[in-house]
Amino acid sequence: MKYNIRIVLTGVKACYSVAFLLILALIRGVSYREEIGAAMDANVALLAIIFCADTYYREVQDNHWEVFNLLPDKNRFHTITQRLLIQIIYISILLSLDYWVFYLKTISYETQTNWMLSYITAIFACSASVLFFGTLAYTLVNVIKNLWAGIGSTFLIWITLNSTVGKNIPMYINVFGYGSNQDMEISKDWIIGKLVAIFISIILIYINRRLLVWKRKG
Amino acid sequence: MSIEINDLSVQFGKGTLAINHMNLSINQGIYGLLGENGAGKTTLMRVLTTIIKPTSGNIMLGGIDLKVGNYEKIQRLIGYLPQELGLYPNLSVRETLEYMGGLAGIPKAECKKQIDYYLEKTSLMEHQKKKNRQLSGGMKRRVGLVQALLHNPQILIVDEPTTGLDPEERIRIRNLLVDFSRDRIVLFSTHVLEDLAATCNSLGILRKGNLIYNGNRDALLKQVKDCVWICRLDNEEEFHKISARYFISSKKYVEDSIEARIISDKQPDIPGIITEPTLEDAYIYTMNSVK
Repeated sequence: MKYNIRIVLTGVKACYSVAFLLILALIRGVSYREEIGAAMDANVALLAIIFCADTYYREVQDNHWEVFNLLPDKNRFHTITQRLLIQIIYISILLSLDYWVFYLKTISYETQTNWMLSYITAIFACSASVLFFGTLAYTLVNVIKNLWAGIGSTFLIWITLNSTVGKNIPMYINVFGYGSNQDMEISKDWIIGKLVAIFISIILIYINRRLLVWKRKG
Repeated sequence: MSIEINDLSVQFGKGTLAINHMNLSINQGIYGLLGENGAGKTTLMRVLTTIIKPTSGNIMLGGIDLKVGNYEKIQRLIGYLPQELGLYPNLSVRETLEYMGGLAGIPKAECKKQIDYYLEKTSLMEHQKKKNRQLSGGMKRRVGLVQALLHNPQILIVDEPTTGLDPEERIRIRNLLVDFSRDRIVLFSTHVLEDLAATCNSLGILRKGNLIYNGNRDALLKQVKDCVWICRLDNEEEFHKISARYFISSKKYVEDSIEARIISDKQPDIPGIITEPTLEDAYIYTMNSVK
C-alpha cells in the first residue's frame, strides 16, 4: 500500500490537483452553503478524469508494462485497483478540505439547514462523481489503449452529462443529478443516481481485470 | 530445462512477417541472439514472455506448452529484462525490489533473502537506499536484472542489456549473466558482438524474421576461416573501388595508407594477408551470404 501511494501520488499530480481545487474555490462564487457541493460536483469529476486516466497507462509510459504483465493476474489486478482507489480517496480528501475554502470565501447568507448534513451530503455526492469519472477514464484508456483518446472520450461523456442534454436525463440515472437539483435537498432521486454511478464504477473496476493485459496478437 | 520452438511464425495483422517459420532448440547456458534492427529478436522474446501471441507454430518451455491456459505457469518460469525498463522513480532500489517481489507472490522472508543475495552479487548493496531516479544507466540495468531473478526463474530473457553502457558496466553485466547461466537458460539478445564473444558458446542470427544461423560460436567462426584478409590500400579512391567489390568489416588509417579488413571467399585481387576471423567478421559474412 505505501509503495502504491508513492508510485501513484507524484509531485506533479499533488501540485496540479491542489492548484485546481484552490482556483476553483477562488473563482467559483456561491451564495448559500448548500450550493457548495453543486459547484464542486462536476468540476472535481473533471479533475478525476485527468488524475486517474493513467492509473494503468503509467506502466506503459514508464516502460514497465512488459515486466508488469509477467506478474500473476490476481496481484496485478489487486495492485492497480489499489492505485485507483488511492487516487479516488486522495481527491475525496482534497475536496472535503476544499469545501471549507469555498465556505470561508463565498458564503453570504446563513441558512437553517444542518451544516453537518449538507457537508456530508456534498462530500458523498462529489466523491461518487470522482469515483465514477475516475474509473471511467481509467477504463476507457485501457479499452482504447491510448491515454489522450481515453481522456477525450471520457470528457465527451462528462460534457454530455453536464449540459442541457444531461439535465433532461432523469436524476436517478444521472451522476450529476445532485448538481441539477436546484433546492439541494436530500432527494431520493439524485441519491439513486449516485448509487447507480457507484455500482457502474464497481462493474468497470472488474471489467478492467480483463483489460490489464495489453497483449498483441501476432 | 529447454526451450523448443517449432515452426513459429508471427505476423502483425496482414503486414510484416516478424518471424518466419522458425525452428530452434535452446538448452541450459547462455544462448546469444544476434541480428540487425527489426530482425525479430524482440518479437521472439515477447512471444516467449507471453506478451505477443504467435500466429502459428508451437513452443515448449521446460516441457510446458506455451498457450493461453498455461501463461501463469510459464510466467513463473521466466525472468525478463526488456530492452527499456523504467523503474518507479519515487522508490529506492530496495523498495522497488520488495515491491516487485511482493507482486510476484514471493513470501516476505524469502524475498528479503533473495534481495540481499542479489544486491550483494550485483554490487548494489551500497546503493540500495538510492532512489531509482538517482541511478546511472548501468545501475538501472542491474536493478532490472535483480528484479528478473527474484523469483528464481529457470529461464532468464534479456533484451540488449548492455546497450548504452560504458565498458566497465558492460563487462560487469555480462559477467553477471555468465554467473546466472550456470543453472538456467539465459537468452541474451544484443547488437554488441564482443558481449556474445565473451559470454556464450551457442548463438543464433536472425535476419528479417528468418533464423539464418543456429549453432556453435566456433562453428560460425570456422565458416569464415581463411576468408578474412588484411590489405593495405593507397588512398580513398582505391578503398571505394574495393568496398564496391568486397565486404569490408573495418577500416583504419595507418601511416600513409589505409588498412582494410576484407571478407571474401577468394583471395582479393590486391595484395593481402590472411588473418584470424573475429565474431564480427563471421557475423558480417553470414549476414551477407544469405540474401
